[in-house]
Amino acid sequence: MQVVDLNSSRYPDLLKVTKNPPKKLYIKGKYTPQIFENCLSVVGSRKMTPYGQRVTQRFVREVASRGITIVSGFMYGVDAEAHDAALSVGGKTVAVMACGIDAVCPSFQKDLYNSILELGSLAVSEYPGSTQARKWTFPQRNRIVAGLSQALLVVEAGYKSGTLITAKHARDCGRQVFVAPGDVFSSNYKGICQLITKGAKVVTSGLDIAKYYDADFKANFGAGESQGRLGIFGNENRKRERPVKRNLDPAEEKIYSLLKSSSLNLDDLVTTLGVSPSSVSAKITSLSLKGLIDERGGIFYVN
Amino acid sequence: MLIKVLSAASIGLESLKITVEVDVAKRGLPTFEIVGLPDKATTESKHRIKAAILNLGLDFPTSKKITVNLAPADVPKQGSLYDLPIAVGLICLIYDINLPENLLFFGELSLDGTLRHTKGAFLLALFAKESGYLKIFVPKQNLREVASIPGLQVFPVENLMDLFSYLKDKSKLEPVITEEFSLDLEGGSSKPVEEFGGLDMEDIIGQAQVKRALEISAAGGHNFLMIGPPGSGKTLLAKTFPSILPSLTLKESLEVTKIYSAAGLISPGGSLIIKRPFRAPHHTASYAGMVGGGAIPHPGQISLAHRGVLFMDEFPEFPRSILEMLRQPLEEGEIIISRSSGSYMFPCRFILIAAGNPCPCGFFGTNKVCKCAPGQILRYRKKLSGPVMDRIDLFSSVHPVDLDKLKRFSSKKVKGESSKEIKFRVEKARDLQKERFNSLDLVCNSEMSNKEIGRFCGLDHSGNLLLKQATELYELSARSYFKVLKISRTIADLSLSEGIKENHIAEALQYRYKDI
Repeated sequence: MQVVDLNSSRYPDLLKVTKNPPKKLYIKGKYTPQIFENCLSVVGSRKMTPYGQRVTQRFVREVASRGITIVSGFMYGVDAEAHDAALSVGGKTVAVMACGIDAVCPSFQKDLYNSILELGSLAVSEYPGSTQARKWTFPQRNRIVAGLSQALLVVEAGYKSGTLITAKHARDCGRQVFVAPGDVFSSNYKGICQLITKGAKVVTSGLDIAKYYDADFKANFGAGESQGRLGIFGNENRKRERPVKRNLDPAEEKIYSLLKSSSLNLDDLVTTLGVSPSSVSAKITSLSLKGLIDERGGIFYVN
Repeated sequence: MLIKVLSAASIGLESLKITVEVDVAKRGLPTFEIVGLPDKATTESKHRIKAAILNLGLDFPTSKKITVNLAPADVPKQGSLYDLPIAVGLICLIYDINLPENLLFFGELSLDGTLRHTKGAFLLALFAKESGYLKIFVPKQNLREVASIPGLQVFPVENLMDLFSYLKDKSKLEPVITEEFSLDLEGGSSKPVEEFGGLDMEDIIGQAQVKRALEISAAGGHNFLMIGPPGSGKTLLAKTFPSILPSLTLKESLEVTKIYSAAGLISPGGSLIIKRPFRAPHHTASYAGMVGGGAIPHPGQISLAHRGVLFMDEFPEFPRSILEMLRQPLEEGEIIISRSSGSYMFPCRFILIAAGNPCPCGFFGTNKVCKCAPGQILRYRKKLSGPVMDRIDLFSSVHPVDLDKLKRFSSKKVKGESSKEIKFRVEKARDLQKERFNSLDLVCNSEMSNKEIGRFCGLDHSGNLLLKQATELYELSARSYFKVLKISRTIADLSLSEGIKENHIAEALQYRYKDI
């Protein structure tokens, strides 16, 4: 564990320039100041829908795999999903804890906490020892989450939620706020709609976010260096050229193209295609084994 | 003056002979006592008997000391069935009638001398036949139930007066004799124990996957868990399940009837149970209610579901003790209840259909917002892990059918497959299993142990390859691996295929337990 003082050169610069930076930052994990160079904060609802989960996983993976650190608040829901997604592509992540540096809150996420530290990422807190998380420490922590990054991505937010507090902090510090669009009727998107009307930028993929960093980077350091350091466009091109070798039979092809347009459950597939559930089940298995589709709670979607 | 009349008692599913000794003493204070561990209902029979005999205008030795002993005296006696043998004993003593030997009596008396329907008659009659007491006298309302047993001379008694005439001069009563057991009893014989308005699978719109899972469950006797949000139709689907189960065989019907007789659940005028039982205990059911219990144990819900279906709605809401308790019955197909007075065995070979929500509020993992705290969800889920889950082979998630689809389909009158068609396939698959397990003590694929799985679930090359690939990708445990094989066997049986093909395994893989 390390303690970084506000006056220290090792204190994250972006956080230093905010209105009310913590005087001391307690850090667990292998700390090098580079980890705070390019950061994206990702926050969202604790009560994430399956759609929100997919968005978080997809966007964060795309961003984190380009060397951008993912900062979040280690709460269950979108926060935990963001940490997990960053680790899954070998990216870096920073968990800003609402409790003391020696505690883990929520405790049932101990496994995630351990893998964050084991995989070379950080847990930080402004509270020493095993201070308990309180109602007020969560919004306090939000200012650190917002302050550590150049930009904030909000995935799902209710009408009155802590997520909106983080967004407010980010805006106050002049950071870019991105939102992932969703269902305007869902209570989980009331906050998102609010942010959009206030000028948050809608993004539809992690690449949109990555481009922002790249442009930002170019403005500061010039294009050449940017590619060398971050390699954003290089990665993107490679991804586009990925050869798609599918080898599907006609029935599989049909199911695959249906799932491409929207995620469906097995029953929907059966009624749309008009074939027996047993053959759809078998084809679904084969598509899933080929790694083309995935499933959550009985709903299938294209990977 | 002393007379002995034969009757019988059942404890659990076992029966024993009871000798009713009636003594009318010349001396002593006028009393009427029943001894031999009678319970309250048995003790009160003296009032019924006295009133009935007097109301029929017959003599009653009011001023004598009457002692009735129910031998063996150390076995507790329950119920009102000794009314008839005691009354017969008294009448024979009063009117000096010579009672022929080896007649067996039981039945409850009404105050006007008529006989009422008596519980447990089937078990007692079965005992009578096995012990060679072939002439038995029963209340008329028990006739169909008792007369379903072949080889007995059953005398249906409507009124004590008729019996009096018969004993005096062999008039009034004619025995009913059945040639052999038959399930085609006129008039539907017994009412199914729980009727759900004849639900048919064709009436359910959509839900193709769950219907298919139910079909597999019925064909292979696999236990099935479905998980879905409230209002997705889980209960409705479960209720159609009995309609696709194969019909009861005679042997099974006798087993079920015995249990229902012991529980006193055969209604007046009822006979053999010919429909598979469907029991749906509420999740507040007590331990004794589920397993069976009482000082002299009565069958519980799991035994009442024998050869049928035990539907546990809101499965994770059941107390942990009950979920743990299910483990042994699911494996052994019987439950042994031990009391200080002895051990009682009740069979309980049923198919478990369980339904549950993904979380306490029900909307976790759907597009509606879940209102549960994560701790709540964890605790709820924990109930779904552990030993009882090892006994469940099939899993499926259930999704609500959207309103548009419901409207569209109900207006078009598009119907799915009827229960009759599915039942036909199920019965064919069961026939195949019967052939396969001919030399073994198994009935369904679900009962196969790992050894039998190895013997009967061989895969071809492509099947092996597919399963290996899936085991790696889905990180299947050894247990899930064997479950997939069992389900594949049943799917192959349903398509009347000798070997298990690649597509059978591919389908079976969709019914594995997936974390939500």
